[in-house]
Amino acid sequence: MSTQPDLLIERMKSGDQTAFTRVYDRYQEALHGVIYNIVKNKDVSEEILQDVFIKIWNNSDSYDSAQGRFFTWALNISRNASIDYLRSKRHKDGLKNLSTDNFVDILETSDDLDESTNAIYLKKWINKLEPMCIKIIDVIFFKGFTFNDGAKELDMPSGTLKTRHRKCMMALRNMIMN
Amino acid sequence: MDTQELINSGDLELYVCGVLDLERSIEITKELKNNIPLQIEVQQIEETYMKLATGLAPSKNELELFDRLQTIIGKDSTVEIVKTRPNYLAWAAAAALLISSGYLYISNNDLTESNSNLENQIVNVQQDNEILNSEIENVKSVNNDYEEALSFIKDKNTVKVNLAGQKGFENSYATAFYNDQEDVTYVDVSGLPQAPSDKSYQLWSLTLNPLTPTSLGVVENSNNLLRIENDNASQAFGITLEEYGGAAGPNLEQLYTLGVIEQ
Repeated sequence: MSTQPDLLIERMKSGDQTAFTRVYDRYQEALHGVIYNIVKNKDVSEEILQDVFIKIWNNSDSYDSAQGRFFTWALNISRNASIDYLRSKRHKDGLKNLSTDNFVDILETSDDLDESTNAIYLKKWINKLEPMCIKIIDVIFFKGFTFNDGAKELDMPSGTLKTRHRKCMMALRNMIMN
Repeated sequence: MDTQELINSGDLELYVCGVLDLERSIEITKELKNNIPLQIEVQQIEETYMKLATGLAPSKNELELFDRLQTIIGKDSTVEIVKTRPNYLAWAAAAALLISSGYLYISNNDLTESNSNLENQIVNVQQDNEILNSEIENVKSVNNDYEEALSFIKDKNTVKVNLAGQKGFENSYATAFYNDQEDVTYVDVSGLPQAPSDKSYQLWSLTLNPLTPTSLGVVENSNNLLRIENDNASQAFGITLEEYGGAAGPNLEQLYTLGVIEQ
């Protein structure tokens, strides 16, 4: 288990490019996964990932550790950049429509992920999860719905959503960590 | 709310996802301070989400992407330097005025300067300290990886598998360390030639009769022992050279090394 690299983040905030490189190495793959899950296009996801890290570099001063984790901050930037793209004219002019796919549909149908070892393992874990868990994790983690909007989307009371989300994450965590 | 109640509440998961309101997030950050069980819990939650998201990341040309990023960032810092220059000139002009206005001011200026030199030195020492601390963390993590690999190799159930160079690639070799009790295999690929930039080496777990290959993913040229997740009942390992990012099935004409596990 690795802790948040606070020193590196501080050094990046003061303009240290080497520290930025390390931060990039640590978070880029997970953020790329989140972006790809939203935009569902490999080339676009790479462009957005690049933009996200430029934003991280340019705005690192606005990350305030009192407000939460660095990963959470970067996750929000990634989701927002991806959603902005989907709303953009460029996307609307393209062939893709807004999709209601969840991350498991993407995992199973995407040609871009077939050979990734990480994807192979993820499929194994996901197969053991309850279908409702997949919906919950998709809405809360990948799509970043606010808690109340997520409850409406899944048609369940918000208290139930919170406890079920916790249970689903524990199930996934037990598989991933063991 | 005590530690266990907070852990069970589900708020920590929402905290990491970034879907709590700001006020609650700030409260949780405060709770985390000096509470090691809570910190461990949050780290594990974060790690789970990161692994989940990593499984959805398509393969990409890492170097190209990072080079592009660095070029852009490099440019930005140049802009930053140009922007700050007028300020510097203003300070220099102000300092020149001070110096020209008499001896008292000069002494005063000297004092201020030596003060600011000392402050600079402190900042430098602090920065050096941070860099060293960060390096120590890295070394510790590398050390842990080595210890883990060593104890795996020393385990009585671990077998060494020599992957010999195949026809056309006789000078190539690799070594795998396989343990049928563990879901991990270590490989040493330092005996493979450098892969061309548009190709990747891919490691295969094989079962014999009938011959069935299962991809264990692409492997980078490396002098380090590589840790590969493998929960297959492997009977042999092979390494092929494939298009960049790997292939669905092995290209046997580009089979570099192959070795059967002798139980």
